[in-house]
Formats: sequence, structure tokens, C-alpha cells
Amino acid sequence: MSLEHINDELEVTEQDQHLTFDLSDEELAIQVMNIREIIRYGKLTKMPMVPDFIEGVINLRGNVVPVINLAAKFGLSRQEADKRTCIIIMEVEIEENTVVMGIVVDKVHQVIEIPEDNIEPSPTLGATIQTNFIKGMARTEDGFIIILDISQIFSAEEVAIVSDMNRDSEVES
Amino acid sequence: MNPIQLSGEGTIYEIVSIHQQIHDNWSVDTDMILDVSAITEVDASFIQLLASCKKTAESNHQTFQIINQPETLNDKMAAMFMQDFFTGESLQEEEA
Amino acid sequence: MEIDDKEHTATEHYHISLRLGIDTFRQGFDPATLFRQIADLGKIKETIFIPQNLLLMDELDPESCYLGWEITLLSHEKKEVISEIFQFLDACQLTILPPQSHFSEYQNLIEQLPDEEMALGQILLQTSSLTHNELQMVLNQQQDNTDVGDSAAKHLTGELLVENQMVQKEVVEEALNKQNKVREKKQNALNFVKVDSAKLDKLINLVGELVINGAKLNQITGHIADDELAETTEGMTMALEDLRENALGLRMVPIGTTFNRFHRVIRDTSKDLEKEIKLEIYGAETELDKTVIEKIGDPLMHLIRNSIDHGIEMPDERQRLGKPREGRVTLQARHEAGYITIQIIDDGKGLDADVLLAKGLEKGIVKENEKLSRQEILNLIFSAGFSTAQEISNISGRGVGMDVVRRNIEVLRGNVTIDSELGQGTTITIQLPLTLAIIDGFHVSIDSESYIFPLDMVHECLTLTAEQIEETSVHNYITLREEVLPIVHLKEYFAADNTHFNEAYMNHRIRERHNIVVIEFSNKKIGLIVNELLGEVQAVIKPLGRVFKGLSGFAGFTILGSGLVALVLDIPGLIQQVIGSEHDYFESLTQKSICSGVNQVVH
Repeated sequence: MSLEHINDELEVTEQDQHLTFDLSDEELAIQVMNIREIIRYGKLTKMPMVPDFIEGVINLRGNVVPVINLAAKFGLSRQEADKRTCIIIMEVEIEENTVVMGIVVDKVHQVIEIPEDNIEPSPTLGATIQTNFIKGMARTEDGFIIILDISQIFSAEEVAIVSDMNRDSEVES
Repeated sequence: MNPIQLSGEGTIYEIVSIHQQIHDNWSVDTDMILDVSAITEVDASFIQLLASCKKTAESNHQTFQIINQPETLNDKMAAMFMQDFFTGESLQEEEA
Repeated sequence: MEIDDKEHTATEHYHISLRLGIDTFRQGFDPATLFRQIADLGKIKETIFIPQNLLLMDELDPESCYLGWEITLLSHEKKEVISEIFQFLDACQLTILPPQSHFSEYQNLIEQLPDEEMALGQILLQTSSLTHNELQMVLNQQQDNTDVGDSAAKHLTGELLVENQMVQKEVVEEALNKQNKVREKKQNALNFVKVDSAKLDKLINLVGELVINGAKLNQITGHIADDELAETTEGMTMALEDLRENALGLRMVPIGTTFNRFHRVIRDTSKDLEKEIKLEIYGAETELDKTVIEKIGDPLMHLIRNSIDHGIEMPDERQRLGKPREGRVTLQARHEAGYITIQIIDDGKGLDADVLLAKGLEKGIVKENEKLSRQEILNLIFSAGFSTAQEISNISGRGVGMDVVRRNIEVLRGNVTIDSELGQGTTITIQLPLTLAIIDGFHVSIDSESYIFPLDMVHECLTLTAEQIEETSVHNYITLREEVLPIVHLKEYFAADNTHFNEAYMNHRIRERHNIVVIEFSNKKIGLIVNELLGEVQAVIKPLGRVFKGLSGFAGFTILGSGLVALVLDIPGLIQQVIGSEHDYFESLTQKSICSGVNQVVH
């Protein structure tokens, strides 16, 4: 499916609509509601003195948007960026402020409907991703899709890791 | 035409009792005449009471009169710039 | 009541309107005493008892008070003196209208009127400098004049009022002044359009995009040999640059409006304190981002109040010290090295460093064996918990909430320092970054990423000799023209994780070509090692945003002509980060490690 086509589908902002994508060989999904657009992975500006899950920042039509590497954040093995690598631009609420952020994913699949009823609670064992980042699992013809909880991933505490980083401790090392 | 005989200390300490004396003896049918000869001391509350009497009488179209007033009462009225009020015929000023 | 108009206006009549409080008698207060006191201040011309509030017999509470008077008093005393008589009367209603000659009060009242367009008479009525009757009389007179064909009469309301001695000339002038000001303001308001600042931001972003695309177009044009195309592109590029500059200028506001607010503060406060103080303003035209201006008002107010309250001495005291009776507070702003500097300077009593140090020791802010420079001792007053209002006014006369001021300024990523000479005065210097301002930047690359230095702070650029490179791997400084220059290897400093700076890297580093950007700030120089020097650029600084706001050492982002994002370095912040605190400047550089990566390898 072409990126343009998916971007068109994103216009539908139904609650049940989910975007599925690949990340380190896992098939994941997020609610379409939070997604603004999907762009091809291009040249990023790396940020100094930040944890490695911060991939960098990009210029999105004059706005500087931080990009998160979800694989690094989840502790999964990172894949080299190729021509299918995308950045999903999302709008997230952090402490009543709307913050625009991007996440790097290996490949975007499609927008599918996953009714709330089909979402099963996340397993407590065997998940490769920290369970508090998972909203639930959904069964499809091909198997299971992990649905991510965006509000948890971009919660104030998670973002604060970047804000509160203290350089001093490193200087003294 | 019976004047109301007031007695006691014309001060804040006994003003309630004097008010009562007037209240008990006052009738709308006759003129209001206050005999103040038996009033010993005078303060502002007494002057105010008299002023209220005059205002009440005038609102009832009664004649208001103070008789046997001692010099101290006059002085007190003067000190409070209220002589004009008591000597004036009516309360026309109110509308001025 | 009938009063001769002429007499009414020509004399020094106070009009006092008094309604006693309900508990006056119970509090043992005698109105007769009051009149005696009033009589002491002048001549009571007329007193009319007002029986309006007095209750009738049936409803009367004889112990309560319902009395009231209108008093006309002939007095030369000030209004304050007269009102003092009534100060112990609880809950009384009191209005004291000063004599007509007290026009300064009327002038104040006029000044305080809302900015609405009003007729002259209306202004004067509102401030009680004219009565309705008087106004009516003048208007009638004016009508008569018009009837007999005096065409100039229309303009003469003010003159007629003065002629008839109803209102003083000065008051009329003030009122006319007010009228003009309001009209002017209205006129000016018509020349302005209110715009939501979010819309401005959007516009600036769009312009930024346009500029980037313009640059791309320029590149493409270079590949196509077509004179007409080249010419058109050049014209467009120039227009775009103008457009960008103008768009950026939209958010910039002169600081003068904020400064001018303080004239009134100085006037009112010095009056209250019976001090004589003059405010001087320089650099009112200095432009600063609107959001910064909005937030700097409160800290400035606090600092100025401090100067008036505690800095400037009483006039007699000043005279005794051989200073002019009138104290001076100077407020100045200027652009300097990519920053705006605001200074509040007073010629007051200054700070006593010894007392401050003693206080610092007592409070445990300064340690027993700690050696502080004079500058550091003075800056103690910005420490949290340094002193409370009570204590400070006894020792130095400053410090109330100064830590709050400092914090407010730091929120704006600025800094504040103090300098003072005992007996001579105090200078407070605030430095603020131009948040959204366009800056002239110097583009460098570090580890193949772009960074922008504020050009004003770049002193020079150097290429290291082999010897000097050797030197940096042992010490964190080089010797440059017989001066010791501290060096920071930015690539290593910026790395979140130093472990990959292994021996192979260090060997490679020595062979690598090194460029050094020498930065000068606050009379101090520091050399920063970068990879490439890429030349001058104009940069629009965008804030770091929610995610990176905790990252110090950076003023914000900018978008380069290539469309890529670059970080703009906050040099003072960076230097502070690197060095820790300003004192022991060189000591810290030689003893502690800055390039932590280097040390890990060397040890």
C-alpha cells in the first residue's frame, strides 16, 4: 500500500481504526486517532546528550519535531534504516500540552479496524515489550498484533527522562 | 396640650429609658411638646433623639416644641450645628 | 443652596461630606468634639445637618447614630491633615473635596480617567473640579455667544471656565491634554491591527519554508543556464530575505512601553517614602521578543522597588553625604553579543560585602573555609533563603525575594548579576537571550551534525598545530600567544555515553584535523573544538520545546537553508555547564576534567 494511500486513510479518525506496522520483526498497531501523518525516514539531526531512544529531530514544515526510536525505547534490536523505514508523526497530550512527536518504524502496513471487543488484555509473560506500554492484543488471520498504548509511551514521566537529564553527573565521572 | 415630662440623664447611658418615656406618653392626636427641665446631662444621643422626635412629629403634621430647655442643651445643639434644624419650620431642606 | 459663583471658586473651600457610623455613640464618640477639631484647622463656613438617615421615633434605636453633615471649611491645610481627624471614626462615610486651588489633585484625577473620548466639561465634572450648575452656566453663555454670531465660541469652553474662575487654568490645560492624548491614542489604535501571536508563529514558519525552498530553487537554477531564470530567481531570493526579516520583526516589541510604566511607580513610591527620585531611561527602543517582554515586567518591578525602598537614601541623608538630594535610578537596555542586557542602576547606599558575607555564614549558605570573590559575595543576595524582609532592611536594605527574581529571569534562560560599591550605589545587570530573535550565527559541524554559535561571541577561529593537539590530550588547555586557553572537545562533551572513546579513537583524534572556535564571553575566552567551520548564517531561534527543555547549553533550534535542523548553542549556559561555577575558573579546568572522555582514556 502506498504511503499516500495510507495517509488518505488516516483521515478517518474512528476509534476502532488502527495503523499496523513492523518494528524489529514484531507487528504492532496504534490508534489512528493520534496520528497526524506518516513521512519517509530522511536525514535527521542527532541530539547531543540525550538517551539513545531519541533518534533525533526533524524539520516538519518549519517545526522541529523530536523523533523517538521505539525499538531502542523498548529494548528491541534496532534495524538499519532502509527505503521502507517511516516516521509516524503523532500528536500527544503531555500535561495538557499538545506535543508533536515522531516514532521510527521499520515498515508501515495498513489501516485496519480493530473493534474494542477484539482486544484482549496483554499477556503478563512472554511479551517482548514492557507490558505497561501495551494496550492489548488483537487476533487477526495472520496471528496476533500488539496494540501499543501511546499515552503510556509518551506519558509525562517518560518524556521527563529527557528533560531532567543532568549533565553534571556525567561530567564528574 | 400636655407636655411630655422627660427626666433622667440625657446621655447614651439612659437614652433608652428616655426614648421609652416619649414613646409611652406620645400621642398622634396632640402636638408634641417635650419638657426637658428635668434632664440633667446632655450628649449627642439625646440631641439625636430630639431630632428624631421633630422629624416624626413633622411627618405626622404635628407641632413640635421643646420647652424649658436649659442652656447646656442649646450649647450642645450649637456645638453639633443642629440649631438651624430645630428652629427651622420644616424639613424642606431635605429636598434641596 | 445659593452660593455666589465667584466667591465659591476663588477661595480655599473644602467641602466635607460626613455620615457617621452607626456605632459612633456606643464607641463614646461625641460629634461636638469633631467639630471642635475641624474648627482648629480653619474656619467652618457653613454646616448643614442632614436628617435624611435619621429614623422616626418608632424605628429609632436611640443608642445608634444616624447623624450626618455637609461642611464647608475654609482651610489652608492639606487634605491629608483634614482627613486625619476622621481616622478614628469607624464606618463613617467621608468625602473631602479639596479647594479648587488644589489643581494637582484634579490633574491626577484627570490622568486616571479611562481613555474614553469625552467633552471637556465632562472630564471636569467627573473629577469634581466643576459643578453641574457651573457647566450649565458656561454652556448657556456659549449658546448666547453663538446666537450673536461669535463663531469662535465653540472652542472656548475652557477659556470661559477659566474666565469665570470656575476652574483653574492648569486644570483645564490638563483636561485638554487628556483629551488630546485620548484622541491621539485612538488615532494610533487605528493604525494597529491586533494579531494572535500563534498566527504570527505560523506565518514565520511558512516564511521559513519558503526561504528553504527558495534556496533549493537557487541551487537548481545554478544547473540550468538561463539568464532570465537566474535573474528571476535572484530577485525572488532577495525579496524572500526581506520577507523573512520583516516576518521576524513582527514579534519584536520595543521594551520602552514596559520601561515607561515605571515612571509612575517611581513617582508614587517616592512620594510615599518622601524620597526624591528621578528615573532615567536609555535604550527604550531596544527590541525584544514579545513573550520575553511580558515576563520580564514583574522581576524589573521588584528590582526597581528595591532600589527605591532600600537603595536610595532620604533626601536629608543624601545631602549630608554630599550627594544630590535627588536620587537617580537608571534603567537601560541594549543589545549585546546576541543577548539583551538590561541594567538597573541606582546611586543609593550600595551593599556592604562584609555584612553580606557574615550573613551568608550565619545562614550556612557560605561555608567557613570557602573563599569567595567580592562578586560572589554580592551575588549571595540572590540565594534562596538568604534573608527575610525584616532582617535585610537592617543590614543591607536588599534581598527581599531576590531569589524569586533570579528564578524568574532564569526561566527566561537569562541571568542576573549584581555589582555594588558601598555608599556609591548598586548596578543590577540582567542578560536575556533573544528567544525567537534572528541571530547572526556561525555554522560549524561537530561529529557531522550542524551547530550554530552566536556570531557575536566568536572571537576567532584557529586550526591546531600538532603540538597543540598533543597538548590537549594531556591538559584541557593550550597555550595561545602566551595565554592559557581552556579547551573543550565538543564532540566528546556532547556524547551521552563516553565509553566508545577508546584508545583507537584517541589515536585517530590526534591525527584528525582540529578547528577551534575561540569564544569570548564576560571577558573570558574558551576554545571549543569542532570538526568543520562552515561560515556565517542567519538563524531563527526556535525554542527547545517540551521534550528538550531540560537540555542546558542550548538556546534552541534553527532550520538551515538545507532544511535540516541545527542546534543553537547557548554559550553562557554552556560555559557555566562546562566549568560548573565561574569562580576557580582555571583551577577547575586544570584539576577537574572537562573532557571526561579524555581522562578516562588517559588514566
